[in-house]
Amino acid sequence: MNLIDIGLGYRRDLVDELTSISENKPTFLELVPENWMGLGGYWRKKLQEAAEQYSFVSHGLSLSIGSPDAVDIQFVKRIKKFLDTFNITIYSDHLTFASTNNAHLYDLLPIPFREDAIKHVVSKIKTVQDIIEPSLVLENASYYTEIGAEMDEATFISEIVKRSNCELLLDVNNVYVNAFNHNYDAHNFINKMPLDKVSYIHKAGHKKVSDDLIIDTHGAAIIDPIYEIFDHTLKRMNRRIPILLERDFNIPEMSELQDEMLQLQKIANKHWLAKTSNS
Amino acid sequence: MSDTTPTFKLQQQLATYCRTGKAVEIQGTKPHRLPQYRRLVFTIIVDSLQQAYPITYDLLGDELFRGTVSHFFSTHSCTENEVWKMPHDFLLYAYDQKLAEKLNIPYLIELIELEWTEIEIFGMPDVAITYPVVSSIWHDQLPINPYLKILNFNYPIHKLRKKKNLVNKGNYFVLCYRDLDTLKVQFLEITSLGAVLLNALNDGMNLSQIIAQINRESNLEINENYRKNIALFIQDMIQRKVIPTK
Repeated sequence: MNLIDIGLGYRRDLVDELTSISENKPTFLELVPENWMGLGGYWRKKLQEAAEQYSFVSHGLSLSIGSPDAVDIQFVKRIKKFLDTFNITIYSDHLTFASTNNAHLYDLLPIPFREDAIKHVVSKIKTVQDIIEPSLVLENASYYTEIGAEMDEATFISEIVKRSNCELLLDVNNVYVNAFNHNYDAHNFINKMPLDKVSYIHKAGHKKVSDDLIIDTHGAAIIDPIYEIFDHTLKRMNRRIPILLERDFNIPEMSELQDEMLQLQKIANKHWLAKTSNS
Repeated sequence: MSDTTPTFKLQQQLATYCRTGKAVEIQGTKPHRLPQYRRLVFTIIVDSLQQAYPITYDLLGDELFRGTVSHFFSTHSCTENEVWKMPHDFLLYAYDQKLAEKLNIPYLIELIELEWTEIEIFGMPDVAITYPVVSSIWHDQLPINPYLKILNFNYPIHKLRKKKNLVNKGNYFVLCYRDLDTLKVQFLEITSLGAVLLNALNDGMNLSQIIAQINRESNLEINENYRKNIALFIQDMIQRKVIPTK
């Protein structure tokens, strides 16, 4: 089976393997721009080698769209330059904050689900979109506690997407993790998402650390319940979109990653081919 | 967002907790889940710094290293967007805190500088390099590898493998450069004259001009013997492509 619209996270542990495989190659690679832009030498050479074989989508970590701080304009301009250099048309980051008072934390913290946060984030998204040009794509994040919430997560996300006209990167693993950690129904959550604004989907594994807590590690294989939520999501969508397998830690043999990608393709094809034959 | 809003305050409290680990009550949270955030954030910081500064880590040991990193992260604002550049903030912190004196390890700052320089040179953005034909090393303008730094140390920190070397306080010059073929970073001890020559070449002077300036402005007189040694040094630099020529 050839992979179509199935991508893989481009990680440094995988750079050589990805340029040497000939079968079951991902259709595209997703990179973290902050890990590559402005770098020369060895890593730039590897990135260019990969760019000769693959197209990229970009998934950032430090835009910090939910931070109380203003948008870091110079940073966004550097992102834009990097995207242009590699003809990258999708720029995503997380609906989280990763800095306050210009001090970075290098991890993703949950934004309080509150009305003034929505207004602030929407304003920042518009500033970013004026520079980046293609719509900013934001990922629903995993979170382990709400912070002073005034509304539920689904409302918070939907309002931001609606008011800013940004797009959504739907991380199905995060939906599962959050549903488990906060006792809600993952399928219902998916049903409440603005699926017409989803520009691509993330799939990943996680780690259960206690009876009531799962941490979003990207360090394990995807489990069956997440495939089920994925299946449910595609069933409700009327179009093909890219699907990305994320794996950041405990990276297994390439053949295992390929098996996971093939499984994603099988589920996607079930919906995509059915729609093609019905149309 | 105004820094007086309750939302700002909540975010500030969470961020401060992640940076310091000091227990705090944050409205509308599951308090028993908050330590996960501190753990996740601090792990990223420690792992990144341990990876950036492996020799410093070995020197300090796990407990002292983690304690130092904890103080760094809680007191120093990391301003770099890219996590791979964050170790530079640790170097700035080490200067600011006078870490060598504080931990009574006289060569500590120099070690951190050396390890950061390797990261910096390894990742310097690419620039176009021309390889000119040189007919005279004395009169032609010699190009310099753009991925290069000369560090001046009080301790032979580049020879740290033998700790006994570190008692030899002196004046050491270490040439750090990116090998243009392997793209790896190389370290080479050079003399003070070698450092002067490379810096002046980098400023656009040729060797004859540099020697004339040294003879004019210093107590050193570049005699025939010196000229032979300079020629050997330049040939070595050409061989290593520190001076990239055809």
